[in-house]
Amino acid sequence: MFEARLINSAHFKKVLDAIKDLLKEASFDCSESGIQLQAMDDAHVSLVFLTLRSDGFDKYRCDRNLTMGMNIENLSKIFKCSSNDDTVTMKAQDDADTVTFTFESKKQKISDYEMKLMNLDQEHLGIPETDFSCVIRMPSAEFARICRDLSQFGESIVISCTKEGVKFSTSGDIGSANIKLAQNNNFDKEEESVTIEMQEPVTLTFACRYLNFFTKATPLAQQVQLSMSDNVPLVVEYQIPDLGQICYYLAPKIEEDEN
Amino acid sequence: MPRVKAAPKKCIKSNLQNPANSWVFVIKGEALELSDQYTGTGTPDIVTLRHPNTGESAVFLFSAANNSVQEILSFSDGKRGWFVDESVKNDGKMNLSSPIDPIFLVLPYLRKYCSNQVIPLDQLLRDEEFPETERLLKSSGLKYLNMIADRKGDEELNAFKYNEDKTLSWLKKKTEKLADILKAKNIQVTGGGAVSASFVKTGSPDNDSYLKYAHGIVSEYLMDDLSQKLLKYLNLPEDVPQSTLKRKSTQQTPQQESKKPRNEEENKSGSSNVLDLSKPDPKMPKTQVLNAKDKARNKAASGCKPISSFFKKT
Repeated sequence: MFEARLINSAHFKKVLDAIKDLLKEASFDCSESGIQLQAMDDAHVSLVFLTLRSDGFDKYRCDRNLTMGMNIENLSKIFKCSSNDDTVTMKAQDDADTVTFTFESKKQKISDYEMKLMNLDQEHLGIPETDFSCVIRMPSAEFARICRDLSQFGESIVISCTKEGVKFSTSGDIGSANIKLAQNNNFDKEEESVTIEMQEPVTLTFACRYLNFFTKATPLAQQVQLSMSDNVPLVVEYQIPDLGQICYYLAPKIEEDEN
Repeated sequence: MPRVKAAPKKCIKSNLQNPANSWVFVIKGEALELSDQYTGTGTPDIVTLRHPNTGESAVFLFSAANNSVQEILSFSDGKRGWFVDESVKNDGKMNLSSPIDPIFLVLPYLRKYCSNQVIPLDQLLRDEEFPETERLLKSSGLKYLNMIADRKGDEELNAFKYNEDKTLSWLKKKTEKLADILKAKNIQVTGGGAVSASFVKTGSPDNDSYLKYAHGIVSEYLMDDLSQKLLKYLNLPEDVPQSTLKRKSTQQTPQQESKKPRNEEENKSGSSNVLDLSKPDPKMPKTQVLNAKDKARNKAASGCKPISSFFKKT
């Protein structure tokens, strides 16, 4: 028997918004410690790794490990039927082929939705611990804004990180764009500071469209962490307060010119 | 592109119940024979690919192991029929196959997509209109792709960037080789008007005439603008209109129409005791319908290594 309850369905809605553009379907792995989801997008260049800790739920029970394959689009259809302040309870029997979502509103309204589960071929990838050359922390809204602005100019974004700061640049048919951010520690409002931990400078190119998919997670966290090293995927990490985290991995574009 | 003459094997598929559903092929033997190393169960397959010159669909023949490609030319003069065993076949078309360098088929894709960016080959050769294009990946001729493109990144990634200088010098070599063969075979190449290629004329034509004729043949497999560039690269005069150099006019002739894929009904065939050459469709994969969003995403993903190559599978 699996049961998980969240006081606010809005939290889960935001999580779904953060993955539904990248993933059509995904397996939720439920265990005693919480819910995990690891999946690649259809083009297999990015990976989403979502962790929702059991202690972040209002009530959590998982007797046996359970994997639930779900169609993300249908899942978000179901959550569209809930109000943000509804309490949501997710339930599934062991070896069940359906999962039930119960939304309880404060006005004594209870709605039940049952969704069929899918059998998905899942391929779990082991993500090695990496010491990154650069780790950048910045306000998530700022990162979203930069990606959105630059996407008007070109298809790929060059992120280069040096001691001075981090530079996002792109160029395309209409011209080029450059955005530089310097380190700035704001002790009063920690969520607004930009910090850089750097071992050595790194410059990498990424597909703009994918970064824009990742920034769909912006409402989940005030800060975003970007970790980069040469020849390894970029990690874009959002810490969801009191609930867990969502990490996106994106393979860098192959360098145009190696010399 | 020397056309090596091998003893052609005649392969007539007889289908007595419905003789209308068969084609007559003259195929170069090597496409039908399986090499000793090959252990699979495939049979030679007729598929449609994008023609490198016109961009339209054209019919090609893959050998069983997909390692060699032949183009299929069909010849039809309308007033012809075939006797097959004891029946008469109304359709008098004759389909001839001859080996083609797969690089010619990859070239238009490279030119179109890899001029400014680097794309792994397996991503490049995905053509929604012609899903069979992917088979080219296995053809042995592609190991010479570095003749027209620069390899970028790891060997296993197989990513290339188009290099026009290399391409032109590669085409030049092809043209010169072809001109040598024309010369060796004593093929008549001079004269702007209609002259039979077997017409023997006294006095030997100069090298340039052979080159020009060879260029015309090579251009059948090149986009028009590249053909013009090659002409300049060969230092040949441009004054001659292209159409007289080409053996094939750019208009749609009935012969070209016959290269279009046949409709489903014609493809359905009964039992056959020879090779089933008319079966391109049954295992045609259902191409997934991609919406605009997916297409845009796939485009954005091009030029990236798959993420799974960074992480170990567990």
